[in-house]
Amino acid sequence: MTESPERSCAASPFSPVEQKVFDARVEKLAANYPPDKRAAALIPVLHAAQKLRGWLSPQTLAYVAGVVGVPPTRVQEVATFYSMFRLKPAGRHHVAVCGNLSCWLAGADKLHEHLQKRLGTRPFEPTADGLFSHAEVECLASCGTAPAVLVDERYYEGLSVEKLDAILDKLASEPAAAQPA
Amino acid sequence: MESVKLVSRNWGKPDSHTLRVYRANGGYKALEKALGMTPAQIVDEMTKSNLRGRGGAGFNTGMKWTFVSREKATPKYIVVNGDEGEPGTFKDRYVLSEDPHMMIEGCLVGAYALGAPAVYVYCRGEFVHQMERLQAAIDECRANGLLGKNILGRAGFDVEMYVQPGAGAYICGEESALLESLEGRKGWPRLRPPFPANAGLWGKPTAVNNVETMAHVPHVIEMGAEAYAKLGCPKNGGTRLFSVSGHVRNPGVHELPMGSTFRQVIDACGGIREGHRLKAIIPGGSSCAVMTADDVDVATDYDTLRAKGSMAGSGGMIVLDETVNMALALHNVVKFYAHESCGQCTPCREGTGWMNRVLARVAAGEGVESDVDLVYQIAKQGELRTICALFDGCAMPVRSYIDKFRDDFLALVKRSESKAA
Repeated sequence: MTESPERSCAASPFSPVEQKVFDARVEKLAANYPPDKRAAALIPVLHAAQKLRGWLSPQTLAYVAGVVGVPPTRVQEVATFYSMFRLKPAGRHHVAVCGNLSCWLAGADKLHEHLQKRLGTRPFEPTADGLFSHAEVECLASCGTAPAVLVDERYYEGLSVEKLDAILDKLASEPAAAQPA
Repeated sequence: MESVKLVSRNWGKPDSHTLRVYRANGGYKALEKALGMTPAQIVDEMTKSNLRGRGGAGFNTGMKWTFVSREKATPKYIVVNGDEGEPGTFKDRYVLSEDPHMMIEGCLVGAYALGAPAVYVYCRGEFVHQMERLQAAIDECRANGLLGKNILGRAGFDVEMYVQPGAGAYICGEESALLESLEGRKGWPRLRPPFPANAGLWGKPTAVNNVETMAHVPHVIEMGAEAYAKLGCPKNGGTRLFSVSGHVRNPGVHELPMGSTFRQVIDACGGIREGHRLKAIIPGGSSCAVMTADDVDVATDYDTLRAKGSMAGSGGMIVLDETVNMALALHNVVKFYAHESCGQCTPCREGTGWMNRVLARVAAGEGVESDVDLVYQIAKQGELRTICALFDGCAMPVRSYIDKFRDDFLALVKRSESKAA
């Protein structure tokens, strides 16, 4: 896995700084599997790429295929199958609202309705300022602390409309440092 | 009912996730004891303990290990299922974040018993915090001779443990889909046979066990099979983590003996919320057939609930009071399965979507009475006609909600019929 970036037919989508982070992650993952089973790294590698770039562009997917050593069609198949992978640019913060039964009983539909109104965008579509995108997500295993929302990598639980607003206000006021372009 | 804490006994203690605290509370003593037994003795103890898989299927863990141990092919693997995603279930996340060492110890006992040199813990991709905690615990183990080569000084007892993330797909909680995903493919369930115990990860004999199940293993070894089995009820050994949500006073994870009744579980949560009364119970995740208030004294073990036409499932119990219209609840449940169907089998891919569309119509007050029968027929005709149980997990709620709460459906239908007239 470690030698293949050079042999990849697609150019790397990463900046030099991002490339270092990505290569380190790929090298660490390579030790997790038998030498002839490196395709198992595909999903973790896609996570690493998305974390750096915010989404998975066609170029990123083609590059990952070379790195992991699988056909581009297989990368496409995997990237489109799993709901955490984003194939279009998302907002800087992606807000995923659980709508399943326990969260629904606790008022998740009102929460999502409010979020849609506040952001004024359709699911997965970034706001004009690029700050936020939103979507409904399937059960987050937060049923005992419903309703729950996943913002980027962090859970927020036991929410109300007011609490959600406060979270978004705080995120909106934070500087965009260290965020991918 | 007195709560018996095994798996959750360290939760809430400061730094419960660290090796120091786990050891201070007797951690890794079971592994030492296990190393004094033969692998065959361990598998035998596991079988006798009546520990049954806490992920949902409820298969005897020792039996599963027996199948793996009989296989000649090497290497053998242990894969831990941490893809917790069944609506209503939220216990494995706490096992992983509050006491990851207990699960690791269970895996090490398993690795010794089965001669498995590698354990993969597959966690749902959203469990970033849980995976960080687990990885930190793995690193502590490596630094302290509990993972790597010659574990606890035992020559040749070498085990590595790896954390593998999923990426948002309910179907990957199904063990063969999980293996596909772990191998770097989309999560399409495999045809069985062969079962994972015979040909699993990369075609090798593989024990796939739930996170909570693995956290029970040290207790079986420590207490002995007989004492562990006695905590539960016949053929259902030990305790289980009930994840209780919905209309109870104190939702949360409660550890109670196997075979506790619904009433005992609800009481452990402080009862139904004030001023309301019980209407329905979903026993173990949204795939189970629903139970009614009349069933409140039924025991929640695998065999009793099976005999009652439902399932104990994952222990993810959703409690509903009289404010809920069950037709609206069903639409919510079916929408989930329609979204999560992997698309491999036609009855499921088409059937879940079709039921969702018809139920959306009913929920919106635009349905007719025959819609209710139509949904019922779709569920009935797709059952047992697919590679995995996802469709069945959708059909069971559909049929049971309609059988037991038909009036809720008719109330919505009547509204639309009177509008039309």
